[in-house]
Amino acid sequence: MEKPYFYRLYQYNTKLFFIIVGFSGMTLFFNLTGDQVMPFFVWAMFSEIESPKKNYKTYQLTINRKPYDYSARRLQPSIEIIRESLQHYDITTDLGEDPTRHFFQHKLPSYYDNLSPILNRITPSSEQIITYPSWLKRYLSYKLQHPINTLEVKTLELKYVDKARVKLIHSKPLLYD
Amino acid sequence: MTERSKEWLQRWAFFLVLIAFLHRYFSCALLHQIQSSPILFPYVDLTYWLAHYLQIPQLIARCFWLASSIDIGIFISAFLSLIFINKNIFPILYTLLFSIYFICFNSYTGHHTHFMIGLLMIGIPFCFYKLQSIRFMWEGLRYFTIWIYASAFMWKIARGAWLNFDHANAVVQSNLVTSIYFQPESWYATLGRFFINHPNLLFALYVIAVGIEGLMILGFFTKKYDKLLFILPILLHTGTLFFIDVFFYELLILNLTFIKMKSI
Repeated sequence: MEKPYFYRLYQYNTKLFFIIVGFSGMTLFFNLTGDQVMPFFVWAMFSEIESPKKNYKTYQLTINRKPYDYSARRLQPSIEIIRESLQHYDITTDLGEDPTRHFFQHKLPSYYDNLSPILNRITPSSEQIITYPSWLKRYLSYKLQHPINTLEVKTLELKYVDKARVKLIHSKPLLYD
Repeated sequence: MTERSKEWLQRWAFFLVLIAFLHRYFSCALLHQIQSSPILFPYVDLTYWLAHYLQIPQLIARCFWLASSIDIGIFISAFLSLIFINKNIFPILYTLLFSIYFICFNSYTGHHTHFMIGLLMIGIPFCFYKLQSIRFMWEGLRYFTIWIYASAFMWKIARGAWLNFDHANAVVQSNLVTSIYFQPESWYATLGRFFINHPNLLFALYVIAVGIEGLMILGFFTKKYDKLLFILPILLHTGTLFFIDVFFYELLILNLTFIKMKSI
């Protein structure tokens, strides 16, 4: 029978053994605290108990006055870019400030003043954030390989109705460029 | 692990890396293609804090040539890792450059994704020079792969999600709402609607999925079932593609660690 991995590793190279043990220990530690610090990843997605919501949110993109359906291109990382960045922009505009900054201001207010200079350096300013609509327009134009004159994004509030059909409840403009 | 099997594994690993990166290029997801993103999202990850404090993502977002150089650098280093098997400098370069890409991509999109972790970790064993060290690092990567699924399983058990009847339905409803709204008659939305309408079936499939993650724990104790452990993540991620619109296909590169050395 093969001896345990860590035993064999220790016999082979003590330095490598301590590196791997250190990595495993840190991974375990960050899993116990629930905070992720790359490369000590936490694989907790979809583990927090969810209940069906009353309403759901999504985004509707209209390019050159024509709807652009991004939902059918699920294997493209660019859809991740569009979807997640829109969500991030939406949260930022809702909060009125950068989400990381907001997190510290509200969850750890006693540290906020001390961390403020660092946060200013590592998070985008509000001047940067307002350039997002034109960046998204440029990115989509590059991706679709055609010029975009107008880009409109609406936030849609959706609801599941009979037989899992989805109905629009409310929409509001998120950005226009 | 023999020289021959190491060569085989390295060639396959970097071949798959190149395919994944080409796919990212055609999907406009490389750094020079996401140029000048105004979004920066370090969140509460200290590694991201350090990178952002050093202004690395900011500089890359502003400088097209720097972004292009990193993208080209990843391509070239992965390609040379595939060709020059005995030079560990190329896997080292690849791992360094891909770490930068990983941080920048996650920061620019405003979401710290997990699916590229396979591409990040796969080059690490080949950064070592001695065959025996590579062997130990490769075996370590196998345990890391098992840990991914084992810890995902334990999180679901600890938080009680696996026993919650509504949970699976809620996750599916939330993740498929966009597809069902925009393409209600597509086969994808039809399938999604069918399972939302049959929550018992959905719950059963969810328990099976959690069970698959739990089965991966076997790999900590024995290598006898590595063939099964190779297949299980493929089944799991194919399932997530259909039910929650998420496909961690880049993570599947780590399945290479379940291939038995003797069979190569």
